[in-house]
Amino acid sequence: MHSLVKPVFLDLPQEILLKIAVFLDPVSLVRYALACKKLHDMYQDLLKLRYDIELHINGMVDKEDSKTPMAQRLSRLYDLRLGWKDLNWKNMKEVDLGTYFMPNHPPEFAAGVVAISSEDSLKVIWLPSAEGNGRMVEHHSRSAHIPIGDFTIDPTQDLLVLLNDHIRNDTARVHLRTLSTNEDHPLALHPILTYKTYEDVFADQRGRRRHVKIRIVNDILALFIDDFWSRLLIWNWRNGVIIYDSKLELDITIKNFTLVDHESFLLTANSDIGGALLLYTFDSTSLSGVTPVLVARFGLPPIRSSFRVKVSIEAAPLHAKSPDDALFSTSPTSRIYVVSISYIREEEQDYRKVHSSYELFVHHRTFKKYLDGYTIRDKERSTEADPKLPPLEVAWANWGEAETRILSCHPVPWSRHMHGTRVVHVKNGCSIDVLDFNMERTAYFGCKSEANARVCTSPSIVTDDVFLSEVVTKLPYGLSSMDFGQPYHIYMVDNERLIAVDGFLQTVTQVNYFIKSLDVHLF
Amino acid sequence: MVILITSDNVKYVVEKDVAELSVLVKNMLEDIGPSDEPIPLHNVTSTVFNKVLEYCIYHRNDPPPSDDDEGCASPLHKYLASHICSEWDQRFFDVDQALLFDIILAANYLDIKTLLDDACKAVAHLIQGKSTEEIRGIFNIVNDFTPEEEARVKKENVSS
Repeated sequence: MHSLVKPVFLDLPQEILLKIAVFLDPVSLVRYALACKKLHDMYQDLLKLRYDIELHINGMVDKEDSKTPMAQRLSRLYDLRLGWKDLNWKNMKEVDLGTYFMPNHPPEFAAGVVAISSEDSLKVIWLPSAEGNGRMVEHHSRSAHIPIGDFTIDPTQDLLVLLNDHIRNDTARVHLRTLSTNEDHPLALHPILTYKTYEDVFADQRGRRRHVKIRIVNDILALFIDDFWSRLLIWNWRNGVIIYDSKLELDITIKNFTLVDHESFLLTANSDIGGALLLYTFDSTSLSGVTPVLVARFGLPPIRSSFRVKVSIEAAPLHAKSPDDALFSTSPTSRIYVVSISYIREEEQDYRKVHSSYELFVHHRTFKKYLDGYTIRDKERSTEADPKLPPLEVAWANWGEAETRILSCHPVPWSRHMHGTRVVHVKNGCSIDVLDFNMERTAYFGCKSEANARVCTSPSIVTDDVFLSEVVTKLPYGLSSMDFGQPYHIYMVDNERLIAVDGFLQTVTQVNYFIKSLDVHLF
Repeated sequence: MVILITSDNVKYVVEKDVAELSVLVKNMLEDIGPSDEPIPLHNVTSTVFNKVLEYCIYHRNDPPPSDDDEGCASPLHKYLASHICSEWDQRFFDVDQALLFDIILAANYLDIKTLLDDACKAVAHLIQGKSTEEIRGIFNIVNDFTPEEEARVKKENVSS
């Protein structure tokens, strides 16, 4: 270096010019890169790298054939991350629903679309996004002669699934419709799937409560009926093949279900010792029906014999592809499962009178690890004649502390308050916590002490009469808090929206819920 | 004590822990072993070295940079914290561009990671929030795109 020659910016070594670029926000980076050819060439590589890193940090996958410039996508990812950290949304758009009566089935929410059923109609709302104002259609049951009861949606496949099992004969029907127009779905070989119900078996059971859960992953459609004996049915909805029907063979303690991916699922068991999660895998390509294989049984915290446990599980819906207006989507492997656990005293007759309730959070990678392990062990079996692999018994002591986080909660009857690794945890009607279990994304929370965002790495210790010993859990998460200043009943969340549902409860002979509006907070 | 000589033959007597913030000097000291031989710094003038020394003395007791300090110092997250760290650092880097670039080159040569990072952040700070035209103005960058090229790269990188 000659001290007499004034150094010129562009003469700085390439690695220095790059290093400077590393410290720029995406917008400034683009402007920097457009100054001249040298910076622009250097920037092309850097941009791709930064975008890939940012996707990775956020647990996102790129949308195929995106027409949006990479710089803009990078900038959006960055904005979303910072926006969620402080729950600092850009604007709020209200979707007015008049006063809409919602008798029994809670709203469905997937890929930016909310579907709400009333007695004889279904409102389908494409929510506003940063770019557009959204739209709404209403399907009436009389126009298609299908009563609207239990249902689910996958907007990325324009799929609406309507279950009709309130018919007099013993055959239930699953209708495969288009979400946009409520017509027979063009990709379904048979627009109606049927199965035989066991009404005759159950007719005499007193105090029977029946809940139905319908879940879709790509071409897999699963129907779980929580009944006196629960039942799980799995179809390939496109070719109409029934892959699995448990009939009445599930253990009587099994009361809940969720899909893990297109070839595995979880069941929850309300067993005596504290409950368990049962991880199954099955051959989704089967054309003749299969028996799912139990891969592992995960024990929940052991409890005293004077208590009973009630377990249910939920995770965010999986989409067949990126939603239309999204620039990227959450990776199917970047998901958190929320296990709701309630404890009830053995002598208590009223099942609603719970002693205590908790939410247990567990990341997809925990289950993936066991599924991958099973695949490897299964391949190592020397011949087909070898006996099937026995399930792994994973006691709470061997997985709970490191792989989960248990927090006290009010039971949420409602399951669209999670997306990817993010969960809305309602403190009371007005204020919420947003938990994010993606530590790559939340790690930098700790860099600056923010008033309403922090990283929780210290263990949660729960002491409760229920447990044999105190329950310690350590799965780290980022925490952001918000007080809305007005009460909402239901919260829903996706990658770019926090939706607060404004409505009211009216109790006459039973509790009725009316929805007034959706307050869509856009990030 | 360590004796250092800059390219313009100015002699500095520096405490060892301060001098060893430079990985270059540290390695040289290890190579030559215990000795009173002055160490020549060929690529650094005294004007620039005065600044470098000021920084090293101020930051001599800082914890060494680590990559797993609660994830904050990891390179992935560093760009998010692109603020100049302290008021002292802000004042320190409030110098003319030529000196700032010289500090960067000296930090690069002497291998002082924290100074290099902080100086690059200071340059980034000059760019942050400016338009392309303003950035060209700040650094005397000549726009060597043809109008057609410029329109094309703009279209590729900026949303309509």
